[in-house]
Amino acid sequence: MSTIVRPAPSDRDPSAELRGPVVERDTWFYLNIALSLVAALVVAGLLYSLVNPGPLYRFWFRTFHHDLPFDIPYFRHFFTLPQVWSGVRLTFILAILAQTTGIVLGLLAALMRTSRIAVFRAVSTLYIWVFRGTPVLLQIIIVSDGISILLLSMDPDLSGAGWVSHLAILIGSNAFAAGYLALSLNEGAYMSEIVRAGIVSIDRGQMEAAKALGMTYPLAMRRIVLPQALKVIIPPTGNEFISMLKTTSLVSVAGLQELTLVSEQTFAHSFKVLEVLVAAGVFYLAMTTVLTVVQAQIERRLGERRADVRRNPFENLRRLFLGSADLRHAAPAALPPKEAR
Amino acid sequence: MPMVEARGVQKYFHHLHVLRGVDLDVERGEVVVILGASGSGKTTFLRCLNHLEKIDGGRITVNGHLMGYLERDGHLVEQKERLVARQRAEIGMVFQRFNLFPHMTALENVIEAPIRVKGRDRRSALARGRELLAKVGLAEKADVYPHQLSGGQQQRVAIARALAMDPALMLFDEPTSALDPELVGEVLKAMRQLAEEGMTMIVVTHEVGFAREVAHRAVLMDAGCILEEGPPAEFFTRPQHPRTKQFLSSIL
Repeated sequence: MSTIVRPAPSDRDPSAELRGPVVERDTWFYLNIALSLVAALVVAGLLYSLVNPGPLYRFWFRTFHHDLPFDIPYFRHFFTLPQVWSGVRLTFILAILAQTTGIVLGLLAALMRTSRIAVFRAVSTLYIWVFRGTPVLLQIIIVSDGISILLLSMDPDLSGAGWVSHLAILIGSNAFAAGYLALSLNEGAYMSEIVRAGIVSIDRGQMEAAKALGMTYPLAMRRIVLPQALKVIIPPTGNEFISMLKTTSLVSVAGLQELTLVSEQTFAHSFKVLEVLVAAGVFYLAMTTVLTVVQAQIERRLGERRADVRRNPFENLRRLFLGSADLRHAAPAALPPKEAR
Repeated sequence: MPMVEARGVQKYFHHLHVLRGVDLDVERGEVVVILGASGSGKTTFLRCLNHLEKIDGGRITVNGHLMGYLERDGHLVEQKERLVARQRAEIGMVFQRFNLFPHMTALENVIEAPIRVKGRDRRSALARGRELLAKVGLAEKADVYPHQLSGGQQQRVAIARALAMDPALMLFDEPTSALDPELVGEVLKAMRQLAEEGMTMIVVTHEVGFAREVAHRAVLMDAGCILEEGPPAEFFTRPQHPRTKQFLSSIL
């Protein structure tokens, strides 16, 4: 049998190479456009009918007995109240501080959990067990009330200038400090599992190669393993950040004047329950949106080492709202959703 | 004084006795190839040499120093991690799966340990790094990430990375086993060049051609023992032990 020699690509008819398959837009593409247009028209029409006279407006008018249940001017007014803005600021600052501390605590707990020293492993396991296994609301109340009670019983008249009474005054009288402490401790337990998952996802060969080059364990961890683990750690950490922003509302039980407590106080005066709560929701949504965009930016930076990354800033927004069918940009497999706290 | 002196090395994985008293001396500038079927303990033995595995008996000295242990009142006591690390810095190792650091460019891979471990200044490390990459034929790939390189190119970067620490001894753990056949040659060529420069090398491999042409000595391991050793010319043409004959006939 003789060998068959095929012509190399360059020897073939070059025009044949250029005639690639024609990509046709399928039915779904046009259907999507049509349905989106219809949906946008319906939403716009409904909103328009609520404020402008017309047949639909008259229908609402009759249904709601001459008065809309949603006071749009008051809704707008809520956004101008100074106590609301200070509540927003407090919520945002508390979330960022508690989350940052939680990340540090989580890193520490994760390193302890993967340590060769048994006592470290035990302490870390116990910490995670307790703070992941009890409701965060309970933890906030225990920290804000329980600890100050405990400290007061050690120094009943708060006479001493020692550290006990200082701490009691700080935590007991300061809802922010108590909330910060409780949220950080709770978050650290969750973050430690995320960091640990990131560390164990890195191939053992990486640590071995680093050791064979004469690196010590801490150096190899810092320079080789953790930088790679970051890619696995960042997406669920973004989730945690968003979750933290909403969880700060629980610190209202400790009397912290954050967004939710301020909102409750506001509708207690005005009885505009729906307007106030929807407006508070808008604030929360705006804050979580900022965090989502920041997270997308960080992920993009981390992926930027690859040459094929798109640098279009609108791409992040598009992905945020429409998702991405492009697998190159898909987030790494997420951790299982954490149970309700 | 030989570069490596292994005496009666024992190793257990739980109840599995993987090394049953391995003795091996390797002289300075010598190239030793370790052959053997999978599961014969050759990779484990190599990993014991730079203390990536702890040994359960016997002793290993590299360059005159007891590897990974201190002798105290006739007992071997495990050494502090920092000191083990310092010993490992003298021994280069090349892995079957390359194990390049994927978040660093080829050049960053090469200069990382000299800077962080040896405290070399960045500029001289960069110069030396480029020199080593040029030596393995990858001068133009310095700023490329490992995932953009072929397997053979990655393994050559790994060799440059190990050489950057100026090791006295190089260990190769099946350096060509994970490569496509057409990429094996370029890695063997780099290793051959290294041997010609007088580097002391211990190579676990199945590449009989390399063993015949480059090695000073071939060693056959079987069931955790060294069965036969000798100059390649004799080892491959007139094996003594029946197990060696059987092994050679199965791979040739």
